[in-house]
Amino acid sequence: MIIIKKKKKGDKNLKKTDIKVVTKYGFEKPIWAVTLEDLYDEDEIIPQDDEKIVKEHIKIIESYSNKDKKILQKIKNKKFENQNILKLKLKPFEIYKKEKLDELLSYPLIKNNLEYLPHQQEGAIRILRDMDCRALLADEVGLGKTITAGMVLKELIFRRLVKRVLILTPPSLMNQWKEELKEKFNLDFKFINTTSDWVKTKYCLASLDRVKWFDKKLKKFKHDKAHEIYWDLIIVDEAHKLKDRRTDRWKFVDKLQKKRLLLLTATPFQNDLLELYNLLYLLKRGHLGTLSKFKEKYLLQEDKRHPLNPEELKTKLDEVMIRRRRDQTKVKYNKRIAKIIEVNLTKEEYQIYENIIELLMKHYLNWKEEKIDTKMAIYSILPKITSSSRSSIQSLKKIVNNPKYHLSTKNFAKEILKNYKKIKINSKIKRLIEVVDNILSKDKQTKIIIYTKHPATLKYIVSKLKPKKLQVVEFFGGLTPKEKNKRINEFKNNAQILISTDTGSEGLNLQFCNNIINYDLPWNPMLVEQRIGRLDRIGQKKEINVYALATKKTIEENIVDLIVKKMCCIGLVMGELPIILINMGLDSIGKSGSNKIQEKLMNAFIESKDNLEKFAKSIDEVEKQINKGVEKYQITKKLNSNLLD
Amino acid sequence: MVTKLIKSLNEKGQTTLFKIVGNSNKLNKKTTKKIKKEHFSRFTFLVSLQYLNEKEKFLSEVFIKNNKVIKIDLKSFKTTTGKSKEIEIDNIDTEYEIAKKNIRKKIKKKKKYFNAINLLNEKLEKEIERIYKHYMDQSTEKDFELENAKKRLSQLKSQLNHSREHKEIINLRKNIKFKEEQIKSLKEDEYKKRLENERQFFVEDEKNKYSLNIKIELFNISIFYHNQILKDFS
Repeated sequence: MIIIKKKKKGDKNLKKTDIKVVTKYGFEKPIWAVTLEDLYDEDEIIPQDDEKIVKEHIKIIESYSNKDKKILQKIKNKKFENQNILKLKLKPFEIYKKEKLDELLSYPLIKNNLEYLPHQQEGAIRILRDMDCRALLADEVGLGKTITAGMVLKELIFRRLVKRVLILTPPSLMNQWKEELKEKFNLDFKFINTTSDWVKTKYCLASLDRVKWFDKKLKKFKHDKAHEIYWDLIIVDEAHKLKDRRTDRWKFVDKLQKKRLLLLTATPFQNDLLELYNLLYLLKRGHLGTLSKFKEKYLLQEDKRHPLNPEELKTKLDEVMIRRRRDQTKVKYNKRIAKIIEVNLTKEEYQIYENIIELLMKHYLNWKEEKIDTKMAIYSILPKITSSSRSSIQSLKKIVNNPKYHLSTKNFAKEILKNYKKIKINSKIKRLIEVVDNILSKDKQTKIIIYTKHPATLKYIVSKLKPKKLQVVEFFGGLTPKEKNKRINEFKNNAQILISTDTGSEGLNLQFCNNIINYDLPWNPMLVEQRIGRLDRIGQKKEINVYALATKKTIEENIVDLIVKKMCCIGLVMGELPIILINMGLDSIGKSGSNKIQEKLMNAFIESKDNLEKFAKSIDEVEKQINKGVEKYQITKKLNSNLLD
Repeated sequence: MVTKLIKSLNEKGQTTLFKIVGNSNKLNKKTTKKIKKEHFSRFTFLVSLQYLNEKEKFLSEVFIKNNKVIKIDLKSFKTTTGKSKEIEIDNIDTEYEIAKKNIRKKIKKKKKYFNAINLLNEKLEKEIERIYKHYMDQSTEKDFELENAKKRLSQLKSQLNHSREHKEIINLRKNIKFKEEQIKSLKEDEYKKRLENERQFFVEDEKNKYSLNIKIELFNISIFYHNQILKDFS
C-alpha cells in the first residue's frame, strides 16, 4: 500500500518535493523518488550500512539475459509497442513475483497422468521446502518413491531451478524411469552410453553399475567427466546399494558435485546400522558424526540393527529422511492367495530325481577321485534339479564336459542324461498347462505371468504353450530397453501370458495382472517377494493369486510350502517380509555365498540324507523360527516405527 | 492460463514510447517549437533472486538522461503515446550499460536481497560448521590412531627385547610387523592432506548449494520525450 502524504495541506502551490510517499513498511520517500518498482514491489530499501551482513563465503552469481540485445535492437529500429500491453504484462507478474514452495505449481500439468495419492505430493513439498532437496526418501515398497521423486524433479524444472539433472539407477530400472518420466511428467531423459554423452546431455539417466567403473591402471573413473559437471539435482534409485563406502559405486557418487541429492530406498539399512551411516555420510558429511563417534553413540556391539539411542538417532534421521509406511497412506493392501499346485512325477522321472541326489551325495568326485565338498555341490546344483528338467540336463552336461570331475562321476551323469532321453512325459509342464487352462477358462481376459529361474526352462515352456494358440510374450535378461518396452506393452495390450526369468524383470510394473505362477521357486524368499512385488503395486485392484508348482515326494514340496504359504502369503503387506528377514538376519549372504534361508534349507537337506520326513521336520523348525520372527516383528513394530517413522 | 498469457506477452510490450504532455501551460505551448525535443529512458529490469529452492522476482527501474542516472516521478506528468518520427535515439547501448551498472547497486539495497542473504548465511554457516567439525574430528581420530600404533609398537619392541620364549617371540614379531604396516599405511595415506582436500570439496559444494543467483533481465525500455521542464529532471 502506498499513501501519499502532503506536507502542507491545502497549499495550492504545492511542489513535487513537498509530497512524500509512505511505503507499506513506513519508509518515507519523496515523490520524485517513487518509481514503478514501488507500485509492484512492496520491498523496503535497506540502509547502506546493513550491507555488512553479506558474509564472504556466500557466493553471489550474477547473470544477465541474452534477450536484452533484442530489446535494444528494437529501440534502435524505433520499433515501439503498445503501452497497454506493458500494463497487461505487469498484472500476471504480480502473481508470480513470490514463488514460495508451499504448493507444487507443476502439479496441474501432471495430475491427469497420476493416481491421486496425497502422501506423494506432501513428500515432494517436504523434500523441496524443508530439506533443501538433500534427502533420503525411504518410503515402504509400493508407495511410489519414483513418483514422489518425479514430482520433485518436475517442480524444480518448472520453477527453472535446475538445468543439469542426473538419475542413477540399476540397469534394469533405467527404461522404467525413462518411460515414467516421459509418460507421467513429460520429461525427456537421455541414457548415458559413452563418456562423451555427459557433456551434451542436460537430463541424464545412467546405470550406476556401468558408470562406476574404475580404471585401476589409470587410477580414475572411466566416466570421470561426470565429476567435472556441477549437477543441480542427482537422484539415486535403490540407494541401499550405496551401503559400503569402500566400493567404487559409493565413491563415484561421492565425487559428484551436486547441489541437490535425493536417495531413494525402501530399506536404508538392511542388516547393519552402519549401512545407514554410510548413506547419510554420502548425503550430509558429519551429520551422524565420525564413524567412531557414531559407533560409540548409536551401536550396540551385539546387535547392529537396533540403535543404542533410538530417539536421538530418529531426531537426526528426521532431519534428512522421509519415511512413510503403507498404513499411513491411502495405498490399499492387496490380499495374496497362495495356490500350491502339486506335481506327481512318473516313476521314470522320480528315478532320475533319485539318481541325481545319489550323484550329488555319493558320486560327486573330483579328478583325483576325492569327494567334492558336498555342500557346495548341493548349493549349486540342487535347486536346479528340483526346479526343471531343462536346467537339470544343463547341469549334468556341464559335469560330463568338465575335466575336473572324475570319470566315474561323468559316467554316472551320462547315465542320467540317457534316462532323460527316454522320458516322454514331463509332469511339471503338463501340470503347468492344466493350471493355465484352468485360469483362462474362468476368465479369458485375465493375464498370467509365469516365472522361471532359467532361460532354458523359459524356452521350453514357450515351446509347449505356443502350440496351444496362447499369446505368449517372453521376457529375459539382455533385452534392449526398447525391446523390453515393446514386450511389456504387448503383454499389457494383447497377450495373455508373460513368461519371464528373474533377471531383467526388476522394477517392472505389472499391476494390471493378478496371477503369478512360479514354475520353479528361488529358495531365497526375498527374490520371491520381488517377483510378487511386480504385481503387488499401486493400481492393483484385485486379489493376487500366487501359484507355485511343487513336485510331490521331493524337497521342492516342502520348500514351496514354506516360502509361498508360510512366508510370502501370510497376510503381511508388501515390504514387510524383507524387514522380518532383516531383523532375523536371514536376508544376507551366508558362508556358502547363498542367501541364509537358502543355506538353511540346503543344510537341512544334507543333514536329512535324502530322508524326506527328516527334511520336513527341519523345514518345520525353519517355519517356527520364521513365525517367531513374525511375532517379534509385530511386537517390535512400534519400536521400529519410533525409530524410522 | 496465467502461464500461457505470460508466454504470449513475452515478446511484446518490451519497448514503449511516451510523449510527456503534463504540466503544460501557455508559456510552454508558445515555446515548444523553439526548444529542441529531448528524451530520457526508463530501463525496467526483471530481477530474479534464486537461492536454494526459492525464487523471488521483482521489477526495478533506472532512468537515464544524457548518460546519467536521474530520479524522476512520472506521476506528476501526463503522458500520451509518442510518435517515433519525433525523436532521435543514438546512445541506447551506452545508456543500457549505465543502467545495468546502477541496477546492481539498487538490488543490493533491497530487503528481499537481505532476507535471502540472511537465510543463506544462517544455513551455510551451520553446514560449514558441520563439515569443519567432522573433518577436524576425523583428523584427530587419525592422529590418535597413529599415536596409539606408535606407542604399541614401542611396547611390543620392548617386550621382544625381554622375551625368551620362542612362541612368544614369533607372536611378538608378527604383531610388530602388523603395527609397522599399520603405521606405514597411515603415513602413506597422507590423511591430513586427503582430509583437507575432501573438506575443501564439500565446503565448496555447500557454497555452491547456498549461493545466491541473481538473474537480471531487461523487461522493458520506455523512451519519454518532451519539450519542456527539462530543468526539473537534471
